[in-house]
Amino acid sequence: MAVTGRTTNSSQKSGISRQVSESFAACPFLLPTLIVTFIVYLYPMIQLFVLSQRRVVNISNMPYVGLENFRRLFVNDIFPTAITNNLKLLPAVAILLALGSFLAALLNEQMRGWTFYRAIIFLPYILPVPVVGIAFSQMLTRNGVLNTLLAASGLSFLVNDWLGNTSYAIFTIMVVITWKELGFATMLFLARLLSVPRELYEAAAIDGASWWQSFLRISLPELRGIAAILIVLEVFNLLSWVFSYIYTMTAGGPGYSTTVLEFFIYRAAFFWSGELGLASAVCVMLFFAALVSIPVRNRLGGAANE
Amino acid sequence: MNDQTKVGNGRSQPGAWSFYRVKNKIIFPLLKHIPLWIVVLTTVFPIYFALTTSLKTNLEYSINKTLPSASPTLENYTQILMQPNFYVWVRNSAVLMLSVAILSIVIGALAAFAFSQMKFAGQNVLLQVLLSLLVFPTIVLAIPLFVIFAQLHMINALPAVIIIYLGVTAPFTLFILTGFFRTMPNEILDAARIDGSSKMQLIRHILLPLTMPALITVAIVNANFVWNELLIAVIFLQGQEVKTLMSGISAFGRFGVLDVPRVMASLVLASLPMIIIYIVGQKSFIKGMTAGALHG
Repeated sequence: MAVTGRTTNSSQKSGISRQVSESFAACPFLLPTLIVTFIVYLYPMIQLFVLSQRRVVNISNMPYVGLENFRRLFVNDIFPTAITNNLKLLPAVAILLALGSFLAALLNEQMRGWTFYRAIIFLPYILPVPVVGIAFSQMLTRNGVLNTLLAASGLSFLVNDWLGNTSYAIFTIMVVITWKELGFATMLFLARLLSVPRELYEAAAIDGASWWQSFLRISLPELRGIAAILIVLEVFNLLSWVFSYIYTMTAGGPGYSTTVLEFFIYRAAFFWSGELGLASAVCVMLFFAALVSIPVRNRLGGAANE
Repeated sequence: MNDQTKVGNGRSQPGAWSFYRVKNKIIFPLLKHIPLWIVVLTTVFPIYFALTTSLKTNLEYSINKTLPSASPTLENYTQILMQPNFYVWVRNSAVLMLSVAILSIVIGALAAFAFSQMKFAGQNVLLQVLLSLLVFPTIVLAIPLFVIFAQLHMINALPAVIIIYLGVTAPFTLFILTGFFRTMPNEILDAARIDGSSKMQLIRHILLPLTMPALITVAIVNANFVWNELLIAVIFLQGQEVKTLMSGISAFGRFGVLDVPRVMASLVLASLPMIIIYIVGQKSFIKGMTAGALHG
């Protein structure tokens, strides 16, 4: 890495003593970050394992119960529902890949007004998630603007309680997330395509290739690397970063139809009396899932630097 | 140029308004605008809806949900700005945002300097471990942190949340700044060392001015993260006097108040800081936001 080659710079001490003295010299620089990391990551993670084996009556009364919380998790009805609800959000990744690459390929032609399109399409990504959630929750109510528009355009049969229906609500949320993330996907793909040499497309056009052929044969293969990064990022988001959408749009309801894992943990920890230990047990499982995913993330980090 | 290529293909027709010419030069380029316009309209509609609705009275909204107001009014905005709660929320969010944006780049720059310009035992392993921390979802940390801070009587305390946010933003900050500091030319640093400058002076007079763009990008991303954050804010800042803007307005969601125009006005106000930053620093904002995706 870039660190090599620095050895020749400093004064001529013997290797080992230099390294020891530099290790001491580095300490004050590293200390603030290490303290914060200890408080926010290391110590809480140790506490998490302790809490997952406790029944938390209140914060000063937490009797040890062994693996009881994990056992109860496996007989809990809502826990598998929560996991399923997270999985129901995953189609968003496919939509983002398809729409994002298509839009990026169109914008890549830099037709008249393409910077305008680009600016507008990116706009939702800069809006705060809670703002997006609240705005859509008001637009999608039974007498909200979407149903008004549908009824006015003769599509009354489509009128629905978009967030109040146990079978659709989670898909409505998926569409809202897609709306918010599409600009990001398009931007990533477009940045990649803009670096593809123009001659490739021109040569294909001369050979009589249609727009679709150049899209499928030139653009898509070029996007493979960045698409892998996008897939992993969005899968992470959809499995563990959707709390704000759920909190502002449905609060996990109706019933438990939009209670994702994060919301299950939140409800169990703070609203179900004495179940903070159960919530911690779910967190422990999430912790291991995240731990296992580190090599995937690291490999992508390598791919991103290429 | 297009014509020549078609001649080469033998597909071109001689007439100026031949079928191929119309198809390839007029219809086809127009076709490409159609999907873009569909996306632009679906993107803009919710924003249009929020803006126009915020200028309506509740009465007008009940009969006119789609068209802009016939008699726009700023009443909703003045009503919100007259609520003392709103100021408290904005102040809390601003305090958190500014403290975290500044402190995160200070401690991040110090660590990034050590990782990029110094050599010490276990360096690469430590950096890898710190960067890997960003895979852990916030909720996993929030549950034990709540118990820890509750035992310390630090629930409803802004400093506790500042520390949490500094931790959550640390891996991303370190990732960007270490990457940037490694691109610093060795010659400048060597010159500074020969002059006998201390490492602190090195940071102040050489590294910081050179890395200003990266520092600003990281500060913007972290400020944006803090301003929009909901999970930590909801769990750790429950008291009315410590609520953030996002957690305050979240009460206006589906199960909240029924005055939709006023809700929309509050959403517009809550988005303003980020939109202003977007307009002012569009380049570093987009760069930062796309890089910022790494930390969710």
